[in-house]
Amino acid sequence: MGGNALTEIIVFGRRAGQSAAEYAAGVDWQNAGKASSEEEFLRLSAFLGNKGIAPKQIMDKIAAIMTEHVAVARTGTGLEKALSLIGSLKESEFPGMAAPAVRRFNLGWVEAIQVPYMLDVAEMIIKSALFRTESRGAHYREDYPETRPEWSKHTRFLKSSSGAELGTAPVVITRLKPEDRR
Amino acid sequence: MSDKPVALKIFRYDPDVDRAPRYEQYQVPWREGLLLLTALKYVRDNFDQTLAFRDYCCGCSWCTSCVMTVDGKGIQTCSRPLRPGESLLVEPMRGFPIIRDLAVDFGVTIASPEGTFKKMHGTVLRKEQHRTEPRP
Repeated sequence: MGGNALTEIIVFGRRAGQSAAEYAAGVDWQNAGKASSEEEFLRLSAFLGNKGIAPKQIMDKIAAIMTEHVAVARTGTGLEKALSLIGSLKESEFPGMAAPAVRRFNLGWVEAIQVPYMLDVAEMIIKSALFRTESRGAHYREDYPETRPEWSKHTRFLKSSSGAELGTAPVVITRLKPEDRR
Repeated sequence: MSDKPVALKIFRYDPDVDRAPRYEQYQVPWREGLLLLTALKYVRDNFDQTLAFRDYCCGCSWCTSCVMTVDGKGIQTCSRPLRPGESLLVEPMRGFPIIRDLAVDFGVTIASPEGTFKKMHGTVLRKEQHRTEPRP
C-alpha cells in the first residue's frame, strides 16, 4: 500500500525527528563504552560462518508464514498457527543461521542482522492481531468481523525485562468521530 | 527449446583474497518475465551466496543502483528481460572502484581524478575511456 506508506513516513518521520531533536537537546554526549561496543561486535560477528542455514531462507519462511496467516483476512486459528511457526523458526532455525564469512559487501550478513528483528516484529504483529478480537481499519478478523466500541484503544508493546509486554493505550479522538463507514 | 536456461558469465573478484578477477559461469532456469537482476539473485540463492551485487532501490529503472556492465554496455539490470537460451557477460559498472564482484563504489564519480581511485581498494574496470573530461 504505497499510498498509505508515503503519508505515514512524512507524518511519523517528522514526529520521530522532532522528538529525537528534543531529546538530544536535553542530554549530553553519551559514551557507549568499549565493553558494550565489543559485545555488539561479537554479536554481529557470530552470524558469520560458512556452514548453516542461509538468512535468506529464514526470511522467505517468515514471509510465507505472514502471507498465509497474517495477511488481509485473519482468523484466531490461523494466527495461533503463525505464532507457533514463528516460535519454532526462532528456536530451531535461527540459532543455526550463518551468513557467508566474507567481510566485504556481504549482503547475507545484512540479512542475518535483520532476521532477529523480523522474527520479533512478526511475533508482535501476530500477538497484537490475536489480542484484538474485533475488526478495525486494515485489521480484519473473519471470526470477529464487527468493530467493537470497547476496542477503541491502541495496542502497544513496551520493552520490558522479559522482552516485549503487550498492553493498551487510550485513543485521543480529534476531528473524525468513530463510526461504521461501510 | 523455449525454456532453455540462461547462461551468465559473471565477474568475480574479492580484493581481500583474490590476486586477480576471474569469471564464473552459471546456468539459470528461464521463466517468463525473468529479469537479469532476478537471475543474479537466483545465482546467489542457489549456487553461491557470497555473490556480491547491488540490489535495486526502485525496481523500475529510476534509481540506477543496479547498473552493471552487460556485454560491454552499462545497463539497469532490474529492467533487462532475459530471453531463453541467452548468454550474457555480466561485469561491474565501468569507471567505479570495485568493492567485490559486481558491487562498485558509487561514491567516486567517473570524472574524479585518477588519484582518488588509487586511494580506494580494488580495481577499476575500464575497457575504454567513457568520460575522461574533468568535472565542470
